Amino acid sequence: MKKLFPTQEIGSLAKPSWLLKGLRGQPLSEEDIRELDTWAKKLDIQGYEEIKQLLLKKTISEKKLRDFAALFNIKFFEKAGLDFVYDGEARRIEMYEYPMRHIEGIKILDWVRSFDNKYYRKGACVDKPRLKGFYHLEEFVFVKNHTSRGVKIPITGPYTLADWSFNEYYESRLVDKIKDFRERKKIAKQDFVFELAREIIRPNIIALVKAGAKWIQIDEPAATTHPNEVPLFVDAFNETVKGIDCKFSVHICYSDYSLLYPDLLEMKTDHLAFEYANKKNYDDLKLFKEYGDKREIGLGVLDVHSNEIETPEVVRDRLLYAYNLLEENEIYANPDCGFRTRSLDVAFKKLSNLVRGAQLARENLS
Amino acid sequence: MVDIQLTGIFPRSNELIRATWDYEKGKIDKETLENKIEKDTKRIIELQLQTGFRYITDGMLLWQDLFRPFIENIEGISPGPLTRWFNNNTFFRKPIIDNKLSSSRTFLHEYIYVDLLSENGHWKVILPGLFTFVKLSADTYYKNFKNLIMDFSRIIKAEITNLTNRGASFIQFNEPAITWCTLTKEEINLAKEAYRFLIDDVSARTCIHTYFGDATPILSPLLDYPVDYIGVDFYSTTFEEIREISFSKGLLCGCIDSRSSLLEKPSNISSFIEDVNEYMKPQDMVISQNCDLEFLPRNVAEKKVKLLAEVLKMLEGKL
Repeated sequence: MKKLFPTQEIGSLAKPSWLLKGLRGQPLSEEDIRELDTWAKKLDIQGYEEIKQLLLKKTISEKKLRDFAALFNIKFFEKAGLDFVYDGEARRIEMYEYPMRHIEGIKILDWVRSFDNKYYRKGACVDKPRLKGFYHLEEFVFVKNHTSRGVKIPITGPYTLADWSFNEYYESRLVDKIKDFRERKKIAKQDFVFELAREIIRPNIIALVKAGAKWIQIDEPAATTHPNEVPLFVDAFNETVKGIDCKFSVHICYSDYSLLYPDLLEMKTDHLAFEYANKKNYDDLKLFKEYGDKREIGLGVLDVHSNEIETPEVVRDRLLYAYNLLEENEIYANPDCGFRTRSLDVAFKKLSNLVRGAQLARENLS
Repeated sequence: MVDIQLTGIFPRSNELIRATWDYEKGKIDKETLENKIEKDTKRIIELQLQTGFRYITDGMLLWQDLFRPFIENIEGISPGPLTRWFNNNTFFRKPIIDNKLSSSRTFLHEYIYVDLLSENGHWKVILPGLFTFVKLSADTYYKNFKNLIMDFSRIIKAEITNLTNRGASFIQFNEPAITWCTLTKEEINLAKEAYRFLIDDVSARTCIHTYFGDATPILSPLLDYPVDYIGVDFYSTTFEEIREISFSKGLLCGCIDSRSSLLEKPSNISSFIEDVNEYMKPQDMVISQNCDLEFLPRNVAEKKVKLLAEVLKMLEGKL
């Protein structure tokens, strides 16, 4: 019998100061060392003393440090009790810039505001995009070799990469062909999205599946940004995964999910991981019922933008609400999104309560 | 007459961005951060003056988003969740209206470098449009479009009076929501009345700017609104579809794309403006970006501003 409410993470963890300073070759403060000591002991990470000494001497190689950070995050998720884990995106700058730096034809420009004082570096497509090399393979193989839990690989999808980038190459090709500004942008966007789907994301996925990947989560936070482009988003997703034998999920956060339907029904995905805790609005789940969508749901039960720790009882109640509403969908328990913006302490407490809450929900139904 | 102007929040310099992070980490104090913001504001003002702007803005570097000064100062509003800002990878704090709106004092001048602007001539203020504020807020108190828009108008009216008394001579209302939401006839009329009340006795030039969406369906009703200019984002509205509309007002022509790093060819833009002028015959024209330049890195935004001067030069004697 299948386990009810399997628990999963969604993506990133915060990068601790000892990691960032270690990568820059900077000396660690007493506080950094204390944090490293505390967590390494708590997570029972083998070989940690050697890493610590290398960090203190500033002689650690980037590969060794990245491997340790990945192992640290795997153990972090395991200790919290999750059923499906990855490496907390320890090797990635973040979900956008990391893949873009592996694509020829992309120029990374300066910062653009996301909100308040939060910025990201935006890429501009200045030439035909070509893959420099598989950019998730090494991290996946490492995770696979260091955990006995289920593994799910988060990958940023083609639509989001295109939507978060400037599109100089495809727009400039059309300047003399399409006079209307609006139509030109529309066609140029389609060309860009499909090029990324076929030439960048799909080859990465094929390489991962050949290496043994069983479940890949395609992150598409931009999916509903342009409501009229939802069909483009769905078509690009399908083009990306066409004919590949693997479980696929799509993760979309901070969105109006009603904009995705009915097009989303055509998407070749097995699992939909959505955010609900931030809005504290689980009424959106009725959409699944309304459209007869019986696929797996990754239910966001932890707000990743708040330090308030959800109790196990709150997690339980959210899961049971979804379970009772959607009897035919398999419900997974997860945070709304990655925990990049929370401290490790907050993330750990939240994830531990996620696991306890899922257990309470199971007990309630047993 | 043809003018060139900014339409919204200008991107911060890399130096200022780093300073905001240093401030958040406690590495610099508030005064140091404020000095850096002021220094950056001066650069933005200087850029506009050098480019030949008649009405300048301060770049709105103190505004975290278009609504934030109002959330921080109006009683009855509290900050809500981060919410996507239309079709952008940018987020704003949703205003939660949970009580009657009131304000015992004016506050917007604390978010605008009035002194820096005033010493340099004509200046422009950009405010959230009434309709956009109402539609993007989560209202749990009024539950009535008319009452909410009128109460908000009263507060904005006091702010406009204060700002025009301090020298503001161009007031622009940013109304992206007006192209996104389906408006009932009643809402169109109520918003018109609210605007009439708002700017009835305002001496400054006024503008409603529509962007991020197709303005075609709303353009004719908007031309009845009591403002001097209507703004159109020509990267979201197809020129061919609106060119036959008799444009009885000034046009803020959003023809420089603030959401693309590709620099427009000045000749293409000037040729487009000539077409717009020939068909739509606006009373006068403001050539501008389609929306806030903050969607671009600072160095690209500056290039797009300078591009306006080239366009203007090409149009000399042609309109």
